[in-house]
Amino acid sequence: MRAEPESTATQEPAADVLALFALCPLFAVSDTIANAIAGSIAMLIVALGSTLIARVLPRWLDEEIGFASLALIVTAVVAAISMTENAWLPGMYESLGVFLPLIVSNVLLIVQATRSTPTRALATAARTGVFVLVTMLTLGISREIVGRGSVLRDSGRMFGEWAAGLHQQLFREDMGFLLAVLPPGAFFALGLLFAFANWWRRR
Amino acid sequence: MAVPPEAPDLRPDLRRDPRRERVIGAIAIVLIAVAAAIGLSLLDRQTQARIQRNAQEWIRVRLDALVPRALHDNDLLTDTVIARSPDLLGLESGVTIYRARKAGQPVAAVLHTTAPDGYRGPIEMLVAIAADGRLIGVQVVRHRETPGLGDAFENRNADWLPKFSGKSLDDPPQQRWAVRPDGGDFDAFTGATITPRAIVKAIRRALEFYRAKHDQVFSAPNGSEIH
Repeated sequence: MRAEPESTATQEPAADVLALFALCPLFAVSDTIANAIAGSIAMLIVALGSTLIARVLPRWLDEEIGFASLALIVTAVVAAISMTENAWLPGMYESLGVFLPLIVSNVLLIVQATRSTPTRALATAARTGVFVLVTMLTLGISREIVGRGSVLRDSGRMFGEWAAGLHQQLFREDMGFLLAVLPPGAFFALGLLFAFANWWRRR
Repeated sequence: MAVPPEAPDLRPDLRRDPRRERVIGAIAIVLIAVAAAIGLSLLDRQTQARIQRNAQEWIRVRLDALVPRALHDNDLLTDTVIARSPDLLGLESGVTIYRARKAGQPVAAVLHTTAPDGYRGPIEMLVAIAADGRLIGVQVVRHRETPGLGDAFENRNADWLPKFSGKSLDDPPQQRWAVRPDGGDFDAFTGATITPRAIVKAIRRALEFYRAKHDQVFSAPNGSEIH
């Protein structure tokens, strides 16, 4: 993503914007805060895990089978996470299971772009992951409040019994703005977020 | 893949022989695939039992909500038959039927059936039918209907599904087992007709299957198939 390691601060947003586009499919999952947190943490784990495993391979293999091996590794890590989630967090698997395979292509783009600088690969994967987490959280909070009038609904089902009490209903659910909950709502919210970020930068 | 300018060139000399290079690449990719397969199958062995237990727990909670434990004295999860009847149920796949009995007498059959024609894919549901052919209750257990429209049975019209309790193929008469826009007795949702139509149809089919096969439903040996 960054062509030169000495990239200046002004070039960093470009990398973030690229990551954003790579992650568009994941953003559709951000209809509730619980979904947003779970989805982005899964993505973070996959990105870090795949980067770690990919670093074991000798670099001169890169040109021959770089992409193919990376695809295998990312797919295997996603499959592993999927099984683990199904076994220990069935509630989370119930709502996110079908979206997990989407992470493969997202992470593949991110890891591939960062792999060529091995020393920084992990840091970049972590940075992108945290950036995604923050963005997803912002989308999740705004979409859930606007669309369903609640905060942290379904968190009990997602994260276990201890989180069940976190659900707060701010206003009646059928008063919510339906578009915010539907998948296109993610992109409207993302557009607004972009607009806000640009305004902030120019200020 | 762009190689950054400061990255050292680590390629050994053998890299210059293209044939050898290709063979090594092929071996490496096979090794990676084998390692991934071994890792995943080990993990599968670790998780499989738990995943099965979760699935059983998932269905048990929902069965208990439909058919209270006081009504039966057997374990529904271990007393099942599979219904495979495309003409009656409209489904190619088998439908699991959980059988509730008290002192050996049939109490209820719960069909884990599917409405194949939901707006955004199949709607998975549990239809509990008492031994006399009346509906005990209906639960939608998995669906992808449009939030705010097709999923109205979950919130906005939360009293819609409970209205089926006590109904049977005689009440209302069989030909009126449809949503109101189709000339039936059941309300559709505002802005969404396809979802309730699919659900009503699947319930009607479950009732029709039960009426035609109720003897077999309870007498067929555990785990067998009814056609």
